[in-house]
Amino acid sequence: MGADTTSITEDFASLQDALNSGVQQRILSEYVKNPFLDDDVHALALRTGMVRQEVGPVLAELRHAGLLQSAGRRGHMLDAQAIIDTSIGTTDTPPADKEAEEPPAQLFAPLLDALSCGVALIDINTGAVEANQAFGRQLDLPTNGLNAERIAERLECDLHLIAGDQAPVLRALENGVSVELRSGNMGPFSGLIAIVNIGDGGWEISKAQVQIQEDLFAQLREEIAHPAEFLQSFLEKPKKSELGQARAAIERIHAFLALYLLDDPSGQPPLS
Amino acid sequence: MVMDIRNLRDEEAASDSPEAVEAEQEPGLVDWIEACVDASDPADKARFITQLRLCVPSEEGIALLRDLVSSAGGARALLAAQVLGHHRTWLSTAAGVKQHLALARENEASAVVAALVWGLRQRDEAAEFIVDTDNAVAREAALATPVSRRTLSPILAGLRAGIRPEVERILLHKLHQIHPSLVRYLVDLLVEGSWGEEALRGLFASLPQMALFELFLDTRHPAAWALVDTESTRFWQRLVRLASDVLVAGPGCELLRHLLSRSGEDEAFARRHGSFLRDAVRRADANSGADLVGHVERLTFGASEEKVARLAQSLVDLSTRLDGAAVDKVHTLLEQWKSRSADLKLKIYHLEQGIG
Repeated sequence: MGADTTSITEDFASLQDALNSGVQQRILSEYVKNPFLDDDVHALALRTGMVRQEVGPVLAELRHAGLLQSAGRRGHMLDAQAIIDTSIGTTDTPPADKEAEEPPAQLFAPLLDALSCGVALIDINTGAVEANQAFGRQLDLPTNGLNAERIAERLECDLHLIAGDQAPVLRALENGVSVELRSGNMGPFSGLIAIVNIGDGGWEISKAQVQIQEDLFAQLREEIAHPAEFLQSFLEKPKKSELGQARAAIERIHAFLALYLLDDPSGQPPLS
Repeated sequence: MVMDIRNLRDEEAASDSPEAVEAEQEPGLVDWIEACVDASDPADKARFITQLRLCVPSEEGIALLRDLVSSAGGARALLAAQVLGHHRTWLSTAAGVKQHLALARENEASAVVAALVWGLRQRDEAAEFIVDTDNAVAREAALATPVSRRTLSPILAGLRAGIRPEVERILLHKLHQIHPSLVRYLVDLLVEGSWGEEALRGLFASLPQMALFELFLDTRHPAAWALVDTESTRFWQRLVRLASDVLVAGPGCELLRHLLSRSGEDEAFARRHGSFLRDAVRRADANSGADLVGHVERLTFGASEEKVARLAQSLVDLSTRLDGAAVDKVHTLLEQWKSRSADLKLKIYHLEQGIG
């Protein structure tokens, strides 16, 4: 006999402790219960009994905090890497006597290094900064020994003032580079997030286009290809018992085509 | 006597070959599940879950997962059921779906059954678990069931039987998005069982209002079953009354716009549904009031005096639900209409005084 059925995921429940809001915890608990869950905003709202408009921002926060990741088709799933990182962060604590000598653990280094744009997390209280290589390169700042004071000097602004004001601030530099500063929380980190923007957003647009294309292909597979596959097998060997399923497959294809391609302004149902 | 050891040497050589060693060491689905369940460190568990997500199970792999679900029990069975729900290649064959259903029907652990039902998401087959006695299973079934001709019957059976509030909430939310062409079929199914007043009221409040209005209030032809005997006719009349009550109690903006448009265009329609429209407008949501005033303004742009007079009643009724700028807009509009002719001015004046 194996362990109790709840024991697979109860270890992940510690992730929820790091979250401040009950709503965040409620949503994350669904993904913790089933680490394979890949609900989108609509399905998750229905699952949790929350309003759809409320779920969207919370999902974005959880994604931003690195706890959830995209699962395609606008769905989300638990980010297993976050659990690994959190676990390493909590289990590999350096001994107390060495704490003063060693620099703070770079918790978000893998995440920051994966980003092509320059990003820095600035702790306003301690002045500690965790930044990726791109941030140093794009702002002509050394990555080693970088602190809040150096960044404030480079951006010619008061970081404490910006952190106090919740609205994001954009600082334009002489070489066409701009830096967006916004207050934010990410796991144990709490302070300012600095994001460097060197282009006109072309990369973001092409990334969004790729995502839209991927979503559409996934939908085509689900709504057209699979029902068509079933219809083909049904027509090769028709069974009376599968007639209802065949009709449903046609309805599904029609509904999709009506929604995206054959939208009839008269509002007639796709299959009558 | 001399023993022939040639075969023994061959066997030894075969077992020592690097291929054999490699084949033994390559971990599979079951190994990852075992390792994931046994791991004490969450990071290790997470690594195995990533591995389980990334792998592509073969037919044998799917069969192994099924074996684990049915025989391993506990956390192993649950994880295997979740992996089956994640990798749904078995959905492509009727036999695969049948086997999955059998697993769900036979398993006794509710968490495992819920995970198996999750694997049936967006499949009609999930509907049979809506009335399951276990809340987790019934909830997962309600979430997984799509609204289609095949699932309407089990969905209604669940609602009629009195399921848990959370499951009811999910099902009613799904019915809210039902395709209008299916509403007629749904109503035909209502006659199959006996319904309590509250259950029917809740159901009607969730259905698309336009479809309900057209089916019950804007038709002279009831469903064929309603004419079979007196009892059926009485049930149909009960449904008509309930639909009318529900629609008047909380009319949506879409329904009100439709009623106003049709009343303006068609005098017979306005006469037939005059009292219903009046009651509905008086209960219109204040937030949608400004939108409706704008709609009436567009409808009466360059319209005949008769059309304006018909819509003036609705506008006066609507003004009782509004405040602020929206009321000012109503008054401006009424003043504009009054300036059209002495006859219209008198009619609107009477409506405003409540003597129309």
